[in-house]
Amino acid sequence: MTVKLEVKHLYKIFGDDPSEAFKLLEQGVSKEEIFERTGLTVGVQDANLEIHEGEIFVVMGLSGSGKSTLVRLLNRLIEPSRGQVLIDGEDIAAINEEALREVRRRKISMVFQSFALMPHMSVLENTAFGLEIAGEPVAKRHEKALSALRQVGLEAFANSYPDELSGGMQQRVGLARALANDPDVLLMDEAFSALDPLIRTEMQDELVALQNKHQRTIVFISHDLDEAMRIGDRIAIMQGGIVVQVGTPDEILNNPANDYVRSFFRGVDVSNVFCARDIARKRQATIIRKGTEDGVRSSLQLLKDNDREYGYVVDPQSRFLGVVSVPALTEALKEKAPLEQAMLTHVEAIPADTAVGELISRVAQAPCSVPVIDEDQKYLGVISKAVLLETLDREGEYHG
Amino acid sequence: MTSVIEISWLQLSLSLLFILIAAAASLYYRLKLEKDLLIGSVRTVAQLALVGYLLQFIFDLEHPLLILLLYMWMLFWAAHAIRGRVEEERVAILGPTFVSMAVTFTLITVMVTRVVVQVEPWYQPQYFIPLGGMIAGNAMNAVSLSLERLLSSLRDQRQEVELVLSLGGNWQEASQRLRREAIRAGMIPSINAMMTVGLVSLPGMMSGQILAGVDPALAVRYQILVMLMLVGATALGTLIVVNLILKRCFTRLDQLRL
Repeated sequence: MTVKLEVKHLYKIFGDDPSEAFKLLEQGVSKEEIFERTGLTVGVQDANLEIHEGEIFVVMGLSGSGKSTLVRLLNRLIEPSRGQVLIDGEDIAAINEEALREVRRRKISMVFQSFALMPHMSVLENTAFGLEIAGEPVAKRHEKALSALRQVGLEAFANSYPDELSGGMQQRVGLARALANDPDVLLMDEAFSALDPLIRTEMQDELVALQNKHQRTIVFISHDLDEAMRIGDRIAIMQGGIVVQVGTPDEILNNPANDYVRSFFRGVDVSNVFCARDIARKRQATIIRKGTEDGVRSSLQLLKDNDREYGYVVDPQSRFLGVVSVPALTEALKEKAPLEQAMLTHVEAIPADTAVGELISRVAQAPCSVPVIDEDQKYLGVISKAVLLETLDREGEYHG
Repeated sequence: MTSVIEISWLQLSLSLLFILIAAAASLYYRLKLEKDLLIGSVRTVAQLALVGYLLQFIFDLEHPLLILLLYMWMLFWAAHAIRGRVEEERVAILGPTFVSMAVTFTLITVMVTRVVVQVEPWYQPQYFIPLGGMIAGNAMNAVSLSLERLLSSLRDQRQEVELVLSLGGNWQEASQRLRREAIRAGMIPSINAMMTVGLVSLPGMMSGQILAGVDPALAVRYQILVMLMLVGATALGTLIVVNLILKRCFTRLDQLRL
């Protein structure tokens, strides 16, 4: 198998003068201690990877593990502190700005978690955006963009605008935009993480199907084990800036390199490794509380349309306000009371950094899925009984 | 025309009552502002008293270099305050902000004194320092607003910026939209001020001149001059500072530094 993309002894140290950190790393000082002593952050430490032509290579890790930094070192959006990134044998870390721009235009494209579509441009223009930057003439870039849209099944929406599309469709545009430049390497940074689970699975399947037709080299960043297992030909697992294991899903599953890797699969440690933030899912119906109207009738309608028992009320800044239920809303509607009166008083939100092990009784006792909020009161999603059980029972899922 | 009524330091001490009201509120509601109030009051008195003596001293000197030096001193503190508000560690703010403000605001103040008001000589401190000072004060707010906007949107909309860079675009292409919004954020307050002036508020300078016994019609003409001058100065100031800082947010290889 030909090696398309090779990473050799790659380091990223954030801060003004990384030489101090290198010295300490050589002495075997830990990343945490280096930060305390020098204020320098080790983002990626001695990464070595061989990524083959035509494979989907997933880089997986929890947040803060350095996976986003690693992917940005591949197209040099972040400057490597030391080491090589070889695409077809050419060291990206050593070329000048003109050559780098050329590589970004022709060889390597990126798909972002937030889609990063330009709201004032049509789907076609968004798709053709990379070609526009590369200086292709209008007719030619529109032709290529249309063909890219065809690949993702969005040809009919060429003249729509991003805000007219669903999240899944928007990310298809993001994908088409990356494909339009006809790159050899596709970097996907948590590309499907912002999508809801059903659409997410659909997109994963489609990516695999697309990959079967046009063999590209895809580096896919994910924090989700299920996703990694589904689409990855091989998986690299990162922990604290270090690549701790590389292998096929089966290899990793059968022979995990350390407890951290094992914890992705087995029930024993999960309750300490994961916190509420990691397992919160945005599957529930959310209701945005706007200042002016009472909102009871529209909330009720929303829950009925989506066949939901409970709705999670947030303000326009997505701060969590409370949970409403269909009976409580019906009651409030009768009494012509405001939305606040329909909120269930006994459902309390869980702070995002609560360990999964501490959640069990709260989730078990709550009538509905329990909402999770961050330090700024922002709503992150809910934890249902089913999700919690599934998390605590990773072992059963993969070995049973 | 009436002359101004003298305020003695003794009379002035009565106005401490106003601070006591604020302090009482702070104590009652536990706002924990007492310390800041105390420091603020002392600094107000000390700084202004110092400036008063300094101004008297400078007015007597009437040397253009000294006047300009004093103005640079004021602009340095404006740039210093901007850096404090923006709180950015990865990109140098103070140097570029100070240099660009020094050049543009001196130019604009000279234009106002020399061409519009036709002061003889142009550096006469009675005109140069208050006019230049108003520019420095207003532009400080405008520049810090636009820099705050610029840096926060570079962070919040990082992926959008990275997208353009990842497609081989340069830093100008990647930050076009954010730059426009940042400059707008800086300019809008002084434009809005032109909309409401005289309706909602009586500007401090005009009120001051009227208190000092100046004919209201003349005071109004001065105020109009000031309003227009401020719009031009904030526009030019934010424009130049935003461009200078924006360039420093990227490396030569089109990488975002933040």
